[in-house]
Amino acid sequence: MKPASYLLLAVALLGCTDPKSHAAPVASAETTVDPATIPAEDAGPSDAGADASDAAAPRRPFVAPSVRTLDIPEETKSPIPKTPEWTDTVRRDVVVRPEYTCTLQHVREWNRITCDAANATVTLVTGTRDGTLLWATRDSAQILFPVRRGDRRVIELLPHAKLVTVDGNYGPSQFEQPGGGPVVLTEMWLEGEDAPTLVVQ
Amino acid sequence: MSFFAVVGGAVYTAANPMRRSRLAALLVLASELSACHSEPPSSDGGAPASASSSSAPVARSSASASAAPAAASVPPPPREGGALVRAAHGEALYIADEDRSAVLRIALPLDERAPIATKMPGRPAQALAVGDLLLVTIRDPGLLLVMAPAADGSLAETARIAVPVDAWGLAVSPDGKTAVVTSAWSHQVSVVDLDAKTVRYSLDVEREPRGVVVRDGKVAYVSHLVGSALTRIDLDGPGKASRVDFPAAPLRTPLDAKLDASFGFSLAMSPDGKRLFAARHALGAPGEAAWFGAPTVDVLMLANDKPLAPARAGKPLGGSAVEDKIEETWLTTPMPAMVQPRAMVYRQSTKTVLVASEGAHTLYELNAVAIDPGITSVFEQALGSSADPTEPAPTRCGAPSGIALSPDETLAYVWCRATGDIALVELGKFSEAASVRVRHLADDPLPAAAARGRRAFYDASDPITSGGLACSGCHPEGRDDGHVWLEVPGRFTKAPIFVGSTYMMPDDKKPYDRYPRQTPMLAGRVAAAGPYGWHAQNDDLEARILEGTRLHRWFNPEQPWERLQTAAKQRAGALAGFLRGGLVPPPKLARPLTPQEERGRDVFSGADTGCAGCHTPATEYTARVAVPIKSPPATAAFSVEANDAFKTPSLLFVGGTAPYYHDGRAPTLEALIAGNEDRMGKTSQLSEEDRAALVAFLRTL
Repeated sequence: MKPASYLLLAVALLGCTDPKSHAAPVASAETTVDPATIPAEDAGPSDAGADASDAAAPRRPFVAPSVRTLDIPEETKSPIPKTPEWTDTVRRDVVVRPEYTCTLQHVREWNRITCDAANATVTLVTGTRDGTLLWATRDSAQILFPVRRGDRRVIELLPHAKLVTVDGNYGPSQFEQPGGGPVVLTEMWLEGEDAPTLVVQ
Repeated sequence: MSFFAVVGGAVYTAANPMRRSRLAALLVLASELSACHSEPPSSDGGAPASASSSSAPVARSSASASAAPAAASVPPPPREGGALVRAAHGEALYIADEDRSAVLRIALPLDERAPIATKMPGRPAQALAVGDLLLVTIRDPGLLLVMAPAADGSLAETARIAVPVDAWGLAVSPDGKTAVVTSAWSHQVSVVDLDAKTVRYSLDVEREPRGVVVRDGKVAYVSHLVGSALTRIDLDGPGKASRVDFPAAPLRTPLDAKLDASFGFSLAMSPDGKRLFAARHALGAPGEAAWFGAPTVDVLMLANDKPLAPARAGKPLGGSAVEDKIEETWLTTPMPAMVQPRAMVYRQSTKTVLVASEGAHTLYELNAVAIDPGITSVFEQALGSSADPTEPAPTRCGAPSGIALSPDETLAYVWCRATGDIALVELGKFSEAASVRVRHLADDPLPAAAARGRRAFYDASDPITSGGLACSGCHPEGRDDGHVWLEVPGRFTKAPIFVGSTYMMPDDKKPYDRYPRQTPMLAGRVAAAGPYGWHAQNDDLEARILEGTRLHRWFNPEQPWERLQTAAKQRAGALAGFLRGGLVPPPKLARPLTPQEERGRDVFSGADTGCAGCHTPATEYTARVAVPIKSPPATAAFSVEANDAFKTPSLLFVGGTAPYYHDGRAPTLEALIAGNEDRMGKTSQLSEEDRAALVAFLRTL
C-alpha cells in the first residue's frame, strides 16, 4: 500500500471583508506544508524490542483538521456577478501548495475559487448542479458556485502533467512536469444549519 | 453579517479582536491560511503571501502543540462498546480479549504493571463502562454480563442477562438505563432494561448485526458485517426494526450505481446526534488496488436517515484543459489505505474520527465535518512493526481492533489483537514525530505456526499473500462477506484471477468467460484433509490457499509466481494452522431438534430427495467430491461454466451464509429450495410443509 501523498489544507476565512483594509497579506509559516519534507515511504514505527518502547514517525505530519463555515451569504438567488464585481472583491488563499495556489472570493451568495494549476481537469463529482460552473485552461482553473441553503457539492480538481521546455547549454529540451496533487472541495449548507460549510482536502 | 464557527464549536466575529486572541492557539493549530488580498494584487500584497509560505517546512511550536488539548472541554464518556474501553473515571482500560476468554484490566497511566485478567464464561466481544460498572457481551453462550470492579482490580459478576447467542455489539442510552445488544450469528438485536436486568425484547434483523449506537434513548442504529444497509431500531414500546438504505462510498461509485459493503464492524455518532459514521469496506469501489474495493467511512444524516453524500447522477459536469470532453468518472483522489477498518471512535475536541485499520495496522484520523471523511486523512500513525525481517506480518501491534481515548482526548489507546499488544498514541502533538508506545500484554495461546498464521490472516501488507487486503477482509472472523466475485482469465497469464465487479474487468480480454465465486465461509469448514476448490482441484487446504493467493494477487510477468512459491507455501502452512486452530466456528445449536426440524432431517436423509448422498452428514455434510450439476443459464454478469462438476459444499452453518448458489441468486434457503429445479438432488416433489421442514433442518446444521 502506498501512503497518501497529499494533504488536507484547511480553509480559514478570517473575515477579510474589506479589501482596502487588508492591503498587506499576513503570511504565516504555519500555513503550508511542503511535500518535499514528507517522506514518500515510511516503514512505520521502529521496533525497539519486546518491552514498552517509543516509536516514531507517522507517515506524514499532522495537518490539523480545520473547517470553517463560509460567510453567511445573503439568502437570495441573484444572478452571477459581473467581472467588475469580482475585481473589487477580496481574495483569500484557501489552498497553497508548491505546485499551485487557490484563492476564494465571494460576492453575495456566489463563490469563486481560482487555482493557478496548469493543465487541470475540474469536475463536479456529485451534488447540486444548479449554478455550478467549472472550467480550466492551460494556466488555471476556476470553480464558481452559489451557496444556498440545501446545497451539497463535491468538486475535484486534478492537475495533469505538462511538458516544459527549458533552454540549456545544448539547446532547448523538454521534460514532463508533474501536475501536482488533487484538491477536493466539499460545500454544504444543510437544512437546520446556521451557516454553510466549506472543506478543502 | 459575517461570522465563522471554529472546529471546537466556538463562534466569534471577525471584528472582535479579543475573541480572536483567545482563540489564537487553536487557530494556529488549524493550519489556517490567513492571507487576504485584493485583486489585482498590489506590489506588497497578494501573491507574495503564497510564494513566501509555500516553501516553509512543517514547523509547529511546542506552545501551540500543548495548547490544543487544553482548549477542549472534557467530552462525556462514550456510550458505545468496544474491544477496548476506558473505565468511566479514566483509571483503567478494559480489553475484551476474545482469544483468551478473559477481560483484561490495565491500570492507567500505562506502565509496567501486569494486566489483571478476569476469566469470562465465554468469549467476550465488547465491553462498556457505565458508571462504576462494566458491561460485557459474551458470544457463546449469549450473555450480557454486568461486572463490578473489586479492590484488587478483578471483576465480579453482579448480573447475568441471557441474550441471543453470539452477543457482540453494545451501546447504552444517555440515561444509562437501557442497553442495546447485537447478536451476530443469531441476527437479532436485544433491548435490555439495565435496572431490571431483563431483556425487554429481541428483534430479528438482517444477518451479522455488529456495531450499534443509541441516538437519544429512542432510536438505535445497527451496522452489519454483510451488506451496506443499516438497521434502525425504534426502541419505544415493543420495538420496531426497519432497514435504512446506505450505499457505500457514493463518491467512488459509477453513475447511477450503488455499492454494497462488508466489514461493517463499527459505528460512531457525533455528540450532537446529527451524524452517524459507518466504517466499512465498499465492495467494488475503485481504490489503489481496485479489484477488491476500498475502505470507506460513510456519513448518515440522522435527521432524515439519508446519506450526507448526494448520490451521483446525470451527465458529468466539468471543464478540462487537456480533455475535449469530461468523461464519466468518480472521485480519483487517492484515499487513505485504511484497509479493514475494524474500530472507530469520535474525537469530539477536533471533530474527527479515529479509525483502526486492521489490515494496515495503522491508526487514521479523518475529518468528521466533511461530506466524505475518507477523502484524505488528517493524521496517520503506523502501529505495527516486526522485529524479525523474515516475518511477513507485524509481530508487534498486529490487527488493531479496539480504540479508546483518554478523558481529555490527547491519548489514544489501541488494542492489537493479533499480537496481544496495546499501543499508546499521543494525539494532538501536531509534530512530525508522534510518540507511540507499544506494550505486550498477552502471548498467543496458539502454537507458534498457527500464531504466525493468525498474524498473516489479518495483515494486508504482505505483498505475496495479501497485497492490499488480508484474508480477514473477505472472511471476517473466518465468516464471509456475502459478495460474489468473478473468476476470469488472467491478464498476464492463462491462470484465472478474481475481479470484484463486472465494470472492473481487464479491458484487453473482452469478451471472455466470467464465473461466479461467492466468498465461502471458512470457520468450522476446513477441518477435512481435502480436497478443496470449486472443482475439488486442490488436494489439501494448503494447496487451496496457494491457488487462492494466485487468484487474488494477479501476479504479473515482473512478479513470476514461480519465484514466489516457496515463500507463499510457508505462509499457506501457517494460515492453514490458524484456519483450523484459531478460527472459532459460529455457535452450534444447543437444544434438541423440534418436530419440524426432525421432519426436515427425514426429508434430507430420504432416498427420494438424495440430499445426504452428496452432503454426507458424517463428513461435515459434504462428500468432498465434484459432482456434475446443471448450471443455471448465463446472465449478463456470469457465463455458464464448461466444467460443470462442482465440489459439494459443506452445509455446516448454511443457515447463516445467505445468499446462496455460486452467484448468490437465492437470497434465502427457501428461495434456494424453490428455485432448485432438481439441479441438486430432487426437491420438486416436496410439499410446502416438507420444504419448510427441510429449510428448518438446514438452519440447525
